[in-house]
Amino acid sequence: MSSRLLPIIVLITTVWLLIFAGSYTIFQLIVTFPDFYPGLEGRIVTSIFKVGISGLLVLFWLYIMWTLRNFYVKRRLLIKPAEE
Amino acid sequence: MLTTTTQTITALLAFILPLAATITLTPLLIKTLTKRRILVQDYHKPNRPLIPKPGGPAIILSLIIGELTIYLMTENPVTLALILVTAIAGAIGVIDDIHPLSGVLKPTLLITASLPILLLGTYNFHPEFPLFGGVRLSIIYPLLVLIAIPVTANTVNTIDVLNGAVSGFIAIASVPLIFALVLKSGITSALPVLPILSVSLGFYIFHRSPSKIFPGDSGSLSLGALYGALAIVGGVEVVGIVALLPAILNSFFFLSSVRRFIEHRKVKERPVKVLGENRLAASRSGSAPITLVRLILADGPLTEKKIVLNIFKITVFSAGLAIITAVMTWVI
Repeated sequence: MSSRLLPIIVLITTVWLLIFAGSYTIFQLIVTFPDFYPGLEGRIVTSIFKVGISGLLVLFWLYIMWTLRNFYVKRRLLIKPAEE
Repeated sequence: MLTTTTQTITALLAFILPLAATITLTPLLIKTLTKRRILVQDYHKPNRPLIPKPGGPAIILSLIIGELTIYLMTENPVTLALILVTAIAGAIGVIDDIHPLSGVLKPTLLITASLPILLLGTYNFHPEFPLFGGVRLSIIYPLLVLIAIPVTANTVNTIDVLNGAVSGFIAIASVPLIFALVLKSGITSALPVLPILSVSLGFYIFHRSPSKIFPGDSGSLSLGALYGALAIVGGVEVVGIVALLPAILNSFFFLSSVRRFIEHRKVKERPVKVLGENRLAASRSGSAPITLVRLILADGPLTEKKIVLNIFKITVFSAGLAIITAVMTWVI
């Protein structure tokens, strides 16, 4: 694999690992939260909390991707002088 | 349960018939489109030659022939859903090729391509993840199916940027799907993936550089929609996502840089520029959209063939990760 592709490979590997970490956090930690208090109301509140926190996690995941993208673009595309 | 002989015959037919159909239909389409002057410029060549487009109808018909063969041999209702998904996404693609749809309307219309999977009940709302196994998503899963087909179709469409890129990409990305399905539920469940592999390989012969035909949106959307549908009906969603990562990242880069759903044709600043000797260079402008090709070109110009080769190398790497994902899900 050439050095040209190395940053993209690192990016893909990071996304792959984040898929594992994210799905584990959502399905093994957040989904298994017990209800905050008994009854239907408690179930609804807990479900809303679970959806909300999972959504935040997805946004955080996208933020990491966005940051990695910016880091890569600034270093490689905008700062690096054109060789052509 | 199919006998080994029936399984082998079905596998051979599911691979050979769509391949033969693609190899026969594509040259006919090239002739017809050229005769009727339905041609577009190849922007990435210095002399901008005129290339027939779309090759989608040959792709759609060949995919349907393959899935129909499997249906006739196995009577598996899953293949009916796959035929309908391909036909609907393909029809939307044909409309888009004739009269370009807006960046919002196209994914909205593609939601209809997800409906056969839901209406025929050919999905399982227990997706399986590596290491911790299956999870129950009875409410949210059908909603995800509705979104998944437009997402995969458009994602694959965004990788259709250079000669041979999308057909080669799908051929490579199909391999981990076959591997995962064989590992998960045996050879029979992997049969519906064979037509997409053979059609993309067959079309690649005409699509590789210098292209004799472009697939158009009808070709790339039908391939992408079928790919997504195969991952859903086979229950190998995570493997499918990992194999598609180069295209997913390409879409993410593009959307996050232009910050809206927009047709690539309408982007004012191009991410790459054409140099002499068939070489392409990355745009150094801060306002040009970020794409996978632009990132590949960050270290300096390359020929179109070499860029596509680099896309294939990245896809092979993702396919490897997808195979590891499958092993982690169904073996470990």
